[in-house]
Amino acid sequence: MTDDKTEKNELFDIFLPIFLEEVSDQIKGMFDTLNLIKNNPNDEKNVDSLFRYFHTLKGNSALCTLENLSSFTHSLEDIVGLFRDKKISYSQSWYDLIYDGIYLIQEAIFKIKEDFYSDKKFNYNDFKNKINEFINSNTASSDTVETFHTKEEFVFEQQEIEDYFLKYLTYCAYHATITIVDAETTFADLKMAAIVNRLQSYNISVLGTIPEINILGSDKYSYDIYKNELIILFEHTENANKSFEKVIDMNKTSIKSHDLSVVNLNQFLSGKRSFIKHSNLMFQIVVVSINSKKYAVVCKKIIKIIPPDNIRYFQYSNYNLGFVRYLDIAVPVISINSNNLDKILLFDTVSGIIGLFFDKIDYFQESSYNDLVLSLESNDFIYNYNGEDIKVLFIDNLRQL
Amino acid sequence: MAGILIVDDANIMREKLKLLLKRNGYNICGEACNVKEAVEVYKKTRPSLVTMDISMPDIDGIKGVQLLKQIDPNAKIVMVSAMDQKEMILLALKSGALNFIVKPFKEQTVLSIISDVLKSD
Repeated sequence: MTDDKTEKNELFDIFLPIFLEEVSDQIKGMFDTLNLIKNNPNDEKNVDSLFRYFHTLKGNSALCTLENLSSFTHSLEDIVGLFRDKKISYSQSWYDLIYDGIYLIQEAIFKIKEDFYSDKKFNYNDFKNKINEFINSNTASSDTVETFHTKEEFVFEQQEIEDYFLKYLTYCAYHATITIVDAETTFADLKMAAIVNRLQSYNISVLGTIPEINILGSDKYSYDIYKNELIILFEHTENANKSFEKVIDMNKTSIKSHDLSVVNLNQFLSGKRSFIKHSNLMFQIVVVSINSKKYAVVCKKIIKIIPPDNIRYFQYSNYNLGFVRYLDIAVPVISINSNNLDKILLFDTVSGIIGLFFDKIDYFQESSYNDLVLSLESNDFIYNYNGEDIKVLFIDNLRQL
Repeated sequence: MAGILIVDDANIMREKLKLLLKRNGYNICGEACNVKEAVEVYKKTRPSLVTMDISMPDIDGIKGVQLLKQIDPNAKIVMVSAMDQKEMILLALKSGALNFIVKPFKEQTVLSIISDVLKSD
């Protein structure tokens, strides 16, 4: 490992000289490629190439601790990315914006050459605002309605279980619960994918995973909902047991804890749960923490968790109500005792989509009215979560507030 | 003695990884700034592990994983990617990469992941 002094020496003796030597060619490459795009905006190769120039400069400047430059380059990379992904089309104003951006990078590099620490003072804010305005006025909301599943359960048909028995001569399967380290909030799902892929690479039959394997690495995965827990159900053989231990060993850095048990597949027989799946009275209970207090929210379905950068328009009224733009409609958003305005939970109710500021989702599950109790003292409905009585919020009509 | 092959089109990133790994006792058996070169060096040196950048000109790191896996199905490859390349990391894992490192990285994370992957069979 390196101490601070070695790190500083390496920065000034090795990395910065390489950076400065290469950056002039990179800037020239950016200008040249941008001009090629101007002559032929449909040539994807040039767009990819411009994207990569910004991508490389972003990484290299971050490595040299030029964080302001790196962040600014990232925003230019984003606009080129929008064009590459056909979310915006070519225009003179797009060209001008990129051109001015590269020019600003050139100016910043010139100053960094004179004084390394000038990066901290360099003012990109005006230009960044221009970029945000450009994105807002040139992109339509591209969100698609994607509802989250209720946290899945394993369900098998009778025939699937019998087929499994014929193959392995047992109804038993391994049930592994793996907790990914807390630091991996952004990439927990990919760490999970790496684990499942590795297990399958030993030709082990994976019967199911929670979250489902096709959710891992996709937009449907949300750390708020799935947390960092992976459950894998796989064949009950000696080879599988050994392979599982190997997979755990080679992913030790990513794994906080793991547990392996044996379950009988018959407990996941579909018929046993069908009365729950098809009941009309079902709704979801979402236990959220808001300013350290827990609430149980009743909803038809969780739709999405919106990070702050998805907020296009927001305004408080006297009643702490606001609106967020989602799918080009204004969705009412409610704030209850919330200091943290970073995340909005969008959920479907009988009267439409509603948003709620929250800090953390503690739990969510399909539920029924049998799980709610009316408190005669407070006249509130109460939901019992882990032994704690929690007030139930029925936010399906704003007039109720 | 086999060692580690570093594949990255950015010179500065190769230097960073090289310094870190050498300082911690690893042998660097080769460097490549693109996938074509990586394939050549891989054939010659048969490294114990490859660190592979995702975003490279001409042929990207995902194709790089697929090509190295064709040469050697047991190749141990760790992807090096940026924060916003989740989809590409997933593709690389599906193509046979064993793990990934996200830039900007912590030195200890890189060392732990490389140690984990080298121990695997």
